Amino acid sequence: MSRIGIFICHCGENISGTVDCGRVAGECGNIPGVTHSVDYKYMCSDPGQTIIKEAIRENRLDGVVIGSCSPRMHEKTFRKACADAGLNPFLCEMANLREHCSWVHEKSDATTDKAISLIRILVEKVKRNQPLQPIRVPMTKRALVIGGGIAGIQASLDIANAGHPVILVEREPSIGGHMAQLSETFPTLDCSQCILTPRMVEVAQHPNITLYTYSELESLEGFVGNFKARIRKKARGIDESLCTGCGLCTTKCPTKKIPSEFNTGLGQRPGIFVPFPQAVPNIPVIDQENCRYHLKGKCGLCAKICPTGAIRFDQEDEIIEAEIGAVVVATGFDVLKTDFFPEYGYGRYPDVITGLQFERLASASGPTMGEIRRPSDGKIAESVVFVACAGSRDAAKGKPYCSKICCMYTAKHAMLYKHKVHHGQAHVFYMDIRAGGKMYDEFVRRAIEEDHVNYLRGRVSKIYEEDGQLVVKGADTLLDHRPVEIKADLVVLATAGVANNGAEELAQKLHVSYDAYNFFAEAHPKLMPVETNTAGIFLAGACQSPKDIPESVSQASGAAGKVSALFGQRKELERDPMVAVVNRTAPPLFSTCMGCFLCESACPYHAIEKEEIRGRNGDLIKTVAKVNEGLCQGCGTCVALCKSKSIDLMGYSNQQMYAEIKAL
Amino acid sequence: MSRTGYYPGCSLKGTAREYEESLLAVAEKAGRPLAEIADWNCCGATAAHGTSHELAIALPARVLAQAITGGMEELLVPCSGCYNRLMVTRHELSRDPALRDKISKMIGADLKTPVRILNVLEWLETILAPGTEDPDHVADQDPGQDPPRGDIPVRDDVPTQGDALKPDHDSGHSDAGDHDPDPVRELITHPFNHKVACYYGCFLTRPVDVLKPDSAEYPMAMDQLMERAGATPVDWEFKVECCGAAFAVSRTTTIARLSGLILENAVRRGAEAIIVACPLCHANMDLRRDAIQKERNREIDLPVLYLPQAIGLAMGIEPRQLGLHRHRVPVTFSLNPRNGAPDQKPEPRTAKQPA
Amino acid sequence: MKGVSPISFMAEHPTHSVETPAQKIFDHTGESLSRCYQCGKCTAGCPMSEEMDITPSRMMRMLQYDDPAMEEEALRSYSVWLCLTCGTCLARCPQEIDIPGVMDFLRTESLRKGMMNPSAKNIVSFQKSFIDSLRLTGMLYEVGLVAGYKARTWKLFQDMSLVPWLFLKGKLNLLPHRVKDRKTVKKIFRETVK
Ligand SMILES: Cc1cc2nc3c(=O)[nH]c(=O)nc-3n(C[C@H](O)[C@H](O)[C@H](O)COP(=O)(O)OP(=O)(O)OC[C@H]3O[C@@H](n4cnc5c(N)ncnc54)[C@H](O)[C@@H]3O)c2cc1C
Ligand code: SF4
Ligand code: SF4
Repeated sequence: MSRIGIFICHCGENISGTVDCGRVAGECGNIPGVTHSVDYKYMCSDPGQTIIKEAIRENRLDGVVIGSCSPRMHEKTFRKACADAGLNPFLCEMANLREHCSWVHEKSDATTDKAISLIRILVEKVKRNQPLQPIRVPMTKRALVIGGGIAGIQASLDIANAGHPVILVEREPSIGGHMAQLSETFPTLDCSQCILTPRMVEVAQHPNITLYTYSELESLEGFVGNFKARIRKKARGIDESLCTGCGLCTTKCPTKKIPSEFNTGLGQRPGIFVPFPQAVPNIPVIDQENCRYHLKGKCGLCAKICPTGAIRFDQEDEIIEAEIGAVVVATGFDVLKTDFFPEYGYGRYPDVITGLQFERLASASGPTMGEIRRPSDGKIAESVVFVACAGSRDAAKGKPYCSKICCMYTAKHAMLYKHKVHHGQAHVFYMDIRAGGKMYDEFVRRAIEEDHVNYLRGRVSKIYEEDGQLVVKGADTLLDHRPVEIKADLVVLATAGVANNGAEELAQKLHVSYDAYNFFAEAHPKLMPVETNTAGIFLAGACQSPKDIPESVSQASGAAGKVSALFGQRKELERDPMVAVVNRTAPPLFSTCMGCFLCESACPYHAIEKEEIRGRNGDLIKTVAKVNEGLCQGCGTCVALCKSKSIDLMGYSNQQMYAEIKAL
Repeated sequence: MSRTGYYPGCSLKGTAREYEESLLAVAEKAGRPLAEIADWNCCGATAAHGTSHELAIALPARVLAQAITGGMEELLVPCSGCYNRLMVTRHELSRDPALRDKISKMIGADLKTPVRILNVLEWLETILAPGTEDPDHVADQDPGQDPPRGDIPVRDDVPTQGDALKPDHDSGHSDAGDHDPDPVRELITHPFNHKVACYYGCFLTRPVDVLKPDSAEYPMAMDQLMERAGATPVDWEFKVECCGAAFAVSRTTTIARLSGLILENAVRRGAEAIIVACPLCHANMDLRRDAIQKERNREIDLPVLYLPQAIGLAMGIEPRQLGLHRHRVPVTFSLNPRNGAPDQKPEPRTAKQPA
Repeated sequence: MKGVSPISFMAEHPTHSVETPAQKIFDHTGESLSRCYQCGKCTAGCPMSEEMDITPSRMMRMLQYDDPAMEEEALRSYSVWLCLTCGTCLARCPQEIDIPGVMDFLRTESLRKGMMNPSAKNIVSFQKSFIDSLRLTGMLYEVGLVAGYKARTWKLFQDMSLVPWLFLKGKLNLLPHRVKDRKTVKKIFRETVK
């Protein structure tokens, strides 16, 4: 006969508000096998845990059921309390009386009855629980950082400085991300390149960091502490060990007019190129789609000019395999392009540009050397209209969310413009000014008060071209909701920040969740903002939601801290033993497994292995399935699939499940 | 072929008589005669929904019922005002079964049988459907003519789905017989080789989720049709802007302002004609031209043609048969037959108002 | 509760005892005005806003208040009659509020309560003449319409210069067409126009 203890928590009034906890404790005390049953206001509190511990010791309990909140919340707490009192922690189960009962029902007898049922079924389960030991697995103390924007850079440096090796994978030819494209940065107006490039160089030179640019993650298998990453290093067409970065090849390439990605299409680049002068690494890339040699089979001018003979037209993609302990995803974001906006001309007007394009215009190293010239004819823009919330907060056609960074960069743009074109006119159409942050609102006020930027509250309805100028039709909702028409040389749309392309595929490769807009999902919006739902995979920067630099950097340091803490722990990792096990029986059967290996093809984690059972003389008797408990995530797919019912999940055996159902 | 009914609506029997004349002429020439539905009533136009919501539903519903009773599967509604009311009505009836039953009882007729409502663009598309492409002919085009991708200026990136459908009258297409006859080539005997501004206005495009135009802000359906008729549609800004619509009689100042802006933009972009599909738009821009000229303080001689008039001309139909003489702003295009004499210059247009 | 209070929740909370303007609009058109976040895009694109006394976004704001005086001001406005129902606002509204639908409702309310704006006399007369013509014949009879309109507005000579021209071009019919099924047309009017 079991000796099971029941502990009903009121959770303040969260549970006791609709469930009669006293009655639950009372009636559950009568369930056969239950020797102790009490209720208390807060079981998770110190005195609450003491109640549990003392009851275990005094009543020599061999099983515990706690009726409280979700196991996600406090399973660890209660299992630890049991372990402290000498009970195997896996003999403790939680019934979710809060989310599954009190929160979703009205106060009534039926609600209390349901709570009692929830306890009763778990009592039947606990009766059949086995004491289990946590699984110990070895841990690789090497981090993989995906994405080399400011967030990825910061995370890599922090982990590397904590003494752990890091592999940084960046898909573009250079690290730097969007920050490398920015001119000056709010709220201090310091030059973006000037603060970024030292960090980029540090990454390249750090002994603990291996940098793979022009590379992408091919696949990631395994689990926390034991990932296996395959990285595709795309063919650069250059022998990196020979290249000195002199750049002669880029000056001789006859294909010159390819829109430069780095300059957001406002400038041009050759077929063999370095995206920008401060690129890290300073090694060119041959763009195979546009290279004459690759298209027509002849040219090879770059190969002829290269003083070290580093050009390799026949170079192939390389696959690099690496053992990884933890991953930081820092793949950043993107912005909507102007062709997204029908009423603003579907990208038909060259002088309607995005904020990112404005950054390139305003940048001293940009296509206009920092002069605000409009793309159509190169004329200095005498009047500029900035349109905030373009595609943001627009449930009908764009994104319903606020992109968060555009209010600030729009103020910055208007300010930079006024600093460059003193007599020019800057107008900003906005809906709200969202400038929460240290020195942020002051920054916006400066744009308005000192640089006399004209802020108009209203959305723009249409932009069209007339006589070589753009007509912007808006309204001023602070001026009696009057329609306003402004003629502008240049219109800058603060287009919505969106998930980077490829984010969805990457999330699927990593088995992490993502939201409806393809931003990666954090494990908890408040308390676990850098974790994902997959242990050992962390988030940093704008890949989680649009963010500015300070926020991206903070989150990156947070993620790096989590990785360092994980690596700092000990040599081995402990995991819950809820894994599948293929049964073993006495000879001559050895196992009921028939060796069909249906489970092998079904297991999403590739945890099924083959075991050969041999007789004394070494003859093969049969081949049966075996679960690698390091890889198994306890999903139970194989259990459901096994025709001979040879697999069971530890802690969730079929027998336990049936007992629960029968108790209903 | 499905039975296509035709609902002219009041305007096509009155002030927009030439719209009907040209439509029927085109239908006849294309061998697709139209059957007018029996004993129809007015759709109620804007006035009805300013008076009573149910009135605005019941009137078009009766028109739909007449089409159903007449056994029609499709109903051509050339007037975009009527088209709009019928589409909105059908949308509301399908969304609200209680309302449908109530109206059904009121007008004593079935409203459940589906009828496809066609606007004039959709109907003309079935007539000017492009023939099957000859693969050789496509391959013939010199790929070297296309500028390299990176050099394409942003302006040319307009979504011109019509490109593939350009009539091939100038490409020396000879080996017929290998593929289906091209109805465009057969019907368009006198290519409308002029620059035109295709004007859609409100009623063909909005409400967007009911009418589902090919684009809410920059539709191309009419441009493609005119392109098939040999014209060069201009890229302009006022395709879907409002002309003043129902204020044709009651508020001429508004008409002059709004229609004036539209005409002005078309002129700036080099259009030689505005093509419309709505009697109200036509009245506002053609009948009200004096007021517009006064408002803009300049002479604007840009003619306004109904789409079937322009296409009718390209099909070689007599101008008088198309009712071109009924316009306030004279239309004096004279088109030459395809592959005709080398001298194909259109005659200069006269811009005189009738005395 | 007295005074002016914004009522952002009204439309979703039909339990509210008094019929607020937003509630009435919700009941009749299904549009929830609390969705309007006052961006002004409707006003910015509206072809009539420069002629309006209350532009569309301002109208929405006024109707968000739980205030009979504000509602009356809206119903007495010229704007409800100036709205062309062109649908530009709805097509571009980021919150997809059917402003033309709301305007339709306000027009019928304004008529019902006799709060029609005096400047809208032309527009309303035209509408009435149009409806009269429909009631009589089931069709739009343009001569009758214009005659009726002229009689209502006493603008006998405005537009007269166009009339002979229209006759000359065969664009006006002297005798009206009529729908044969008079009974149904009558029934429609009887049951829908109160
Ligand atoms: C117009 C504009 C102006 C701005 N101005 C300011 C400012 O003044 N001040 C400020 O604080 N913030 C500003 N920001 C915000 C700033 O750009 C971001 O906060 C910052 O870039 C976020 O950094 P990140 O590393 O998270 O993302 P990113 O900068 O986007 O970097 C992501 C990196 O990951 C790489 N990557 C993406 N996918 C993959 C993949 N699958 N595999 C490998 N690598 C991948 C990308 O190539 C990129 O290098 C501005 C943003 C914009 C759009
Ligand atoms: S940050 Fe400002 S501009 Fe950007 S979406 Fe939010 S409110 Fe609009
Ligand atoms: S529907 Fe009315 S309010 Fe809306 S844009 Fe058109 S005229 Fe203005």
